[in-house]
Amino acid sequence: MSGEPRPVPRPTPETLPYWEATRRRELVRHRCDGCGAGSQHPRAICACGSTDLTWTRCTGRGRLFSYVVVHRPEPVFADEAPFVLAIVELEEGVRMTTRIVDVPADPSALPLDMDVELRWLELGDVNLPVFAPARPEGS
Amino acid sequence: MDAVIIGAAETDVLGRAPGRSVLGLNVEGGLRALADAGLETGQIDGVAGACSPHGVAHALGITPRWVDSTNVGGCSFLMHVRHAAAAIAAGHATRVLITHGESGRSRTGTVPRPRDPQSWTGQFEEPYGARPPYTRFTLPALRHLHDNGLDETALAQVVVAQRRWSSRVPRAGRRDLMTVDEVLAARPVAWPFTVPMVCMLTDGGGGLVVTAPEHATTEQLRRSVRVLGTGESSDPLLVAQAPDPAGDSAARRAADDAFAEARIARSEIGHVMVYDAFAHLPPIGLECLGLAPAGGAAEMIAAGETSPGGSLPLNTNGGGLAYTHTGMYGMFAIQEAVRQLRHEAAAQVPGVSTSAVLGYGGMFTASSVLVLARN
Repeated sequence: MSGEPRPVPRPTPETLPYWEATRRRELVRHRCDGCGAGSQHPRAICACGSTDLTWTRCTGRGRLFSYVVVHRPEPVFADEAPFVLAIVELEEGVRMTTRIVDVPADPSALPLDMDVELRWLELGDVNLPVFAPARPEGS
Repeated sequence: MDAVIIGAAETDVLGRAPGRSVLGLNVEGGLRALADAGLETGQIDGVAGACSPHGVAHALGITPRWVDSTNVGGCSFLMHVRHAAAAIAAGHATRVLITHGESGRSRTGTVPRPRDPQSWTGQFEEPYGARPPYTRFTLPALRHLHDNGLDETALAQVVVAQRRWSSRVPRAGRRDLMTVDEVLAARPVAWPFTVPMVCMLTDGGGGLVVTAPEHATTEQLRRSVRVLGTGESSDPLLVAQAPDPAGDSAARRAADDAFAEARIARSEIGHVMVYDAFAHLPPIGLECLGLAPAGGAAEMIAAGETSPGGSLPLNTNGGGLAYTHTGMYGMFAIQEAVRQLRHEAAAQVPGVSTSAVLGYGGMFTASSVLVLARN
């Protein structure tokens, strides 16, 4: 193990509401009131030029878009290997880098387009949004 | 576009050179390119590079009228060629020296890259364990395979094809032929990627001299390579937000501009270099270049079309996977294209007269394309 601490996100003024929402275990995204476009990652201004951006809560449901199973992580993540680093496409149509948890790090358990749902990883002052295979409806 | 490359050379050592600093490798690459062109430093009035071109100019005793320090990762050097051609056309410089040097393996004279937890990657990628390129650049690969009905065998085929080239190249770092089964059975780095599907990590460098024909001698023009067309573009900073890398991406936009400027058809291209930090990039790159039908590049590679004797020779030095990869491979992709067009390559393609070079940078965040021809 290296002496380097696990990387923790440090918010900027633009991203602070996003990370504050994670403390309440809410996943939010920016929606532009000007053009209606969505962005998973906070931004000060929309590509359309509008600064009318509204924080809106995501459902936390999505699908597994792509992934790798990390076998050789940086030393600070060595205890967690192998782990599943993924791109999830949210129901709202935006994509984010995340982890897939609560499932073996085995491709046979990780078909692409699998339904996933939000989980939280506690990380200092913030919570990290991660995903797990979705439970069947009503369970 | 009326620019020519009149000097091109690599450092003596590609691989492990702990006794050379980043600056030292840049200087060696620059001096070797000048010697190749038959030029003195006093004849250079423009400098470009991704690592302190003004520092390189000072070290070489060059007083520049024009400096370009564009650094968008591995494809930076393709952009330097494009920017140099424009500067020469505008009269801002007559002869531009582009250098690269990187101590990717030994880390000698390398500025450490600290974590920035306020950056986009620091907030939205690194906390998940996504920082080394093999955990970020690789992320869209499975999607690309899946959408085209392919599996990891397609990645292994890329390694098999490129080893057929590198096995003929004495300076290549990985020269053993491999089978698909051997590639798939190798140690996993980030599944579906095994070690041979991931680029090498080396020390090395190189240089290029770009000018216009009216500033070159007959002797310089005899071995020169013409820059027919160029293109560049960029994509979002976070890999999750990139459009489908095989679809409307920076690489496709750069390729469309380069071919429009070059005024030649895709069918006229006889040689291709695609930046291959990882094994999914050659097929995706061929499709972005418009040299393979969407979703059809893997089949071409598996069928041997990009291997020696095939219809579209690709990464003929072995690529970043098997030749060398210092961290920013673009310089070496250009060098191999120049050698092929000069008919001086170790694994020479007979009679080749045109080459397309595609570079990526900062994962999928930037891309640049050069269309080159034998002068």
